[in-house]
Amino acid sequence: MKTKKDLSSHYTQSTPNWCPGCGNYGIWVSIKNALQELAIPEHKVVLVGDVGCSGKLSYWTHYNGFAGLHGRSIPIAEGIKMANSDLTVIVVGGDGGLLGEGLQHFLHACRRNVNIAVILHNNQVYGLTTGQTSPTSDPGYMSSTTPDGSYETPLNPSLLALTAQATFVSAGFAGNTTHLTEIMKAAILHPGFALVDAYQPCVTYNYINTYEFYSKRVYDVSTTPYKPNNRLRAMKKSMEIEGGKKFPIGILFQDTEKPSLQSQIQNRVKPLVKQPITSISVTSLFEQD
Amino acid sequence: MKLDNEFVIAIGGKAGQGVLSMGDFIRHIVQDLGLYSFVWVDYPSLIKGGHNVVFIRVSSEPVYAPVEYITYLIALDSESIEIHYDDMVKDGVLIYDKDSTKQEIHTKPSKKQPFFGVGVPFQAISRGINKSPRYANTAAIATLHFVLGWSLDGYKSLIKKKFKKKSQTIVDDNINAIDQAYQYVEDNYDTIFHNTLLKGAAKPYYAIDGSQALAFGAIKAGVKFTAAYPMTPATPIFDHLAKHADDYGIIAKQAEDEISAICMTVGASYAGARALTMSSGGGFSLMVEALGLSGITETPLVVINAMRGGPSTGLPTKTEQSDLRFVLHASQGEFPRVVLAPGDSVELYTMIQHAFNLADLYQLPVIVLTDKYLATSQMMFPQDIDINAISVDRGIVIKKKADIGSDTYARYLFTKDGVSPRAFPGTRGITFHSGSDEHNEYGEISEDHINRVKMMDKRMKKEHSLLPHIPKPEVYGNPYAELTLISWGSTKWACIEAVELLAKQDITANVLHFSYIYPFNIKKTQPLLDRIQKSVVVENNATGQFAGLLKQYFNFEPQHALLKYDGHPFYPQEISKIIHNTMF
Repeated sequence: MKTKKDLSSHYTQSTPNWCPGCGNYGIWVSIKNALQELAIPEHKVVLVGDVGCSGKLSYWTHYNGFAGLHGRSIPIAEGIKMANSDLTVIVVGGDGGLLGEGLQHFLHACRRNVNIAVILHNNQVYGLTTGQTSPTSDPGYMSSTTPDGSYETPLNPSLLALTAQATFVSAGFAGNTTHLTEIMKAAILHPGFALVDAYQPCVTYNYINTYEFYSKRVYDVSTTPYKPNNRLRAMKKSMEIEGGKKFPIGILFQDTEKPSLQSQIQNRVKPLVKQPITSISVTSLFEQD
Repeated sequence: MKLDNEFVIAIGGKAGQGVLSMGDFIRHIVQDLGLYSFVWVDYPSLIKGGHNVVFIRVSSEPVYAPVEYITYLIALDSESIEIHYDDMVKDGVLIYDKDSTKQEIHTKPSKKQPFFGVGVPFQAISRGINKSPRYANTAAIATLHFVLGWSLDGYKSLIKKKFKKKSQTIVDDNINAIDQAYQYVEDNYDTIFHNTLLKGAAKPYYAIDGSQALAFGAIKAGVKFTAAYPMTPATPIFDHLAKHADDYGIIAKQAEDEISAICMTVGASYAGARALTMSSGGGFSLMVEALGLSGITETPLVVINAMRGGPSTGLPTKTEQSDLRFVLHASQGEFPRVVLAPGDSVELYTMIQHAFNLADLYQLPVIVLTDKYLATSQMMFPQDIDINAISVDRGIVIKKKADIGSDTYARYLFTKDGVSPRAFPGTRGITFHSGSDEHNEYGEISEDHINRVKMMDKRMKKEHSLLPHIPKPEVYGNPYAELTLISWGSTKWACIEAVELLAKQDITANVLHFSYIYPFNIKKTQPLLDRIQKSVVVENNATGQFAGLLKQYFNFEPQHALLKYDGHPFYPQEISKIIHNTMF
C-alpha cells in the first residue's frame, strides 16, 4: 500500500552511476519505497554499503550512509545497531562481498540475531571489477578469471542463512519492485536479523540470469499454500533454486519468537549512545580486590 | 645477589596447580604487611601442565621491575626445582613437597647446593584433612610464613575473608592445613632464617595488573562498546571489560574474528559510542584494513595491541616490543594516527583515557601498544594518584540542525586544523554520508584531483594540530648525565632502576623515556636529544625499531642499541651489567 507522503526525498543531486538497465535500480527504488512507506524519518536510517556497484547505493539517497569495506558491511552495521538501537540499519551488499570476502560475518550475523536487514544484491558476478566469477555464479560461468568456465557449485544464500539460524529469510526480484518493496518492509520490521536475497540481473556481464530469465522462473510463495513458519520446509523451499528452473520469492522463513540480541541485553545495558560518560566512578574497581 | 631490603618469592608448578592464586594470596599478605610488591608471571601456551611461575618481588622501597634472582622458591613440582635451581641466591630457601620431589635436597646450604631446603609433606597434610591435595598450596604458603618469620594472623584472616562466603568447612580446613604445616616445620627445622622484612611502611597502593589498568581507564573514559576475538595476551583486557559490563552499561561482544571486532567497533563509534577493540599482533594484522577505514571516514577508534613474540604465532605467552614499526605503518595509503606506549600501570590507566580523548578530538585511530610483560604484571599503583584527573573531551559534536550554520551539513568540512564538526547518525534534521572512498566535504565519492589533495591535506593536518597534546619525553635522573638510556613503553622502569645500579658503579646515567610515540613532538623532543652525551636505546626487539625512528625523525644515532628478543622482559641488573661491560 503506497502512502501519499511526499516522495521528494527520492531524488538526490547526484544520480546513480550504474549501467543503464542494472538490477540495482529496482533494488534502490524498493529500498526507498519501503522506508518511505514505513515513514521512518531519514535521520533515523543508516544504509551500510559494502564495496562494489551495490555498495554505493546509500550515496544516492537522503538517508545516512556508511560505505564500509568490501565484505565488512555486516559487522559495521551490527556495531552501529548495538550502539544505537533507535536506528534502522540496513546493509546493502553484493554476493561477492557478503558471501565471498565476508561470508563468516554473514553466517555469524544470522545466529547473532542483531536487528539489521541485509539486502543481498545477488547478480552472480563481480560487476565493478569487470565480471569475474562470484560465489553464486553457475557452474560453467566464463569470465576473465575462469576462462574455461567455473568448476564450482554456487552457494545458496537462503539455505545458508537458514542453517545459520537466521530468523527472517526472504527472496525478491529486482524486476518486481512492488513485491520487493513489500518484502523489504517486512525485513526492516522484523525484530532480528533479516535477509533479502534480491535476484539482480547484471546487464553487462551476466547474459544468462537476465530479466527475462527471472521473469519466467520466479513465483511468489504467498500465492501458494506455503507457510513460512517451519525451518525444515523453508530449507526445502530454498533449495528449489538449485535446479535453476524455479525461484521462489517472498518470505521463506520467519521466526519472531527468538529474541534479538538487543532484546536480550536491553534490561542490563541502557542504549549506549544515551548514557552520560562525563563522571563515571571507577573507585570501586580499584578497591574491589 | 641478595639485598637487605628486598627479596623475591617465586612459586613454580604446573599450569592448573594454582600457582597464580597462590601468588595473589602472597601479594595480598605482602601488601597488608606494608611492604611494596611487584608481581610478574611466566607461563607456556597450554591449559594444563607445563611450567608456570609467578614471581613476587618484595621490598621496603617501591619497585617496578623484574629481577633475575629468587630468594624463596615454592616448588610445587620437581621441574620447578630443576628450572630455577641456578636462579636461587646463596642462603635462599627452597620450599618443596617432601614426598613427591624427585631431587635430593639438603637442609643446609653447601657448595653444591647453595641454598636451604625445607621439605614438608604438603600433599599428605592435605589428604589427611580432605582426602585430596586441595590444601597442599595452603600448607606451602604457611611454610613460607615460617621461613620468613611472618605471623600467620594476616594469612588466616585473608583465608577467612576469601572463603567465608563459600563455606565454613573450607575455612576450617584451610586453617587446619596452615597449622599442621607450620607445626611440621617447627618440629623438623631448627634453622633460623634471616629475613629483615617483617613489615614496612609502604604508602598505600593498588596492585593491579596492566590489563586491569587499561580496562579501568577505558571504563573511566566512558567506553560503551568493545568487541574482540580472544588472543593472548590481549584477552584479559576484554575479560575485565566484560566482567564489569553490566555495572557500567557496556556491550562487550566477542566477535567471530578480529576483522569483525574492529568493524563493529568502527560502527559503534560512528554511531556515537566510545568504542574499543584489542588484540595481539596476529589479530591486529587482520584488523589493518579497517584501521584505514577509521582513518578515511574520520571515525574515532581506539585499538590496543598487546604485543607478544612474533612473527606469526611466534611466542604466544612471551613478551616483545616488535610491532612498533608495524602499527606505525599498518594499512594501505596514508592517514593520520596516534601511537601511544604507556610504560607502567599508572600510564596505562591515564593514557588510555588520553587515547579516547585524542580519538574523539581529532577523529582518527589511536593505537595503544602494550605487551605481555606489562599487561600481566602487577605494578604498584599509588593510592594518592587522582584517578579522576582526566576529564572526558569528545571534541566538536553537532547536536542539532541549528548547530551547522548552513543548510547542508558538510561532514568533512575543510577547516583550519583539519577537524570537521562531527555528527552522529540519528541527529534530527541531519543526514550525511561517510565512506571508505575518497570523498568531498559532503562525504560524496569524489575522484577529482583538486579535492583529493585538499582532503588528504585536511586529514594529514590533524597529525600536526594534535601536537600540543603530545608531551615531551620524560627525563629520569640527572639531566646532564654522561650516559642516557633511551626507553619506550614497558622498558621504562627496568631502565630507571638500571640507572640506580650504574650510579653504584660511579656511572652517572639518566633515562629518556617515550610513552607518547607518534606523532613525535619534534620541537619539544629535539633539545632533549641534542644534549645527550652518550646513549643506548633499550628495546625488546631484534632490529632496534625505535632507534631507527630516532634516526628518521631526529637524525639522532644512539651509540648502542641494547636489544632483547628471547621472550623475556629486561632486568635492571642485566642492563647495567651490559652497559658497564661494553661501554665503560
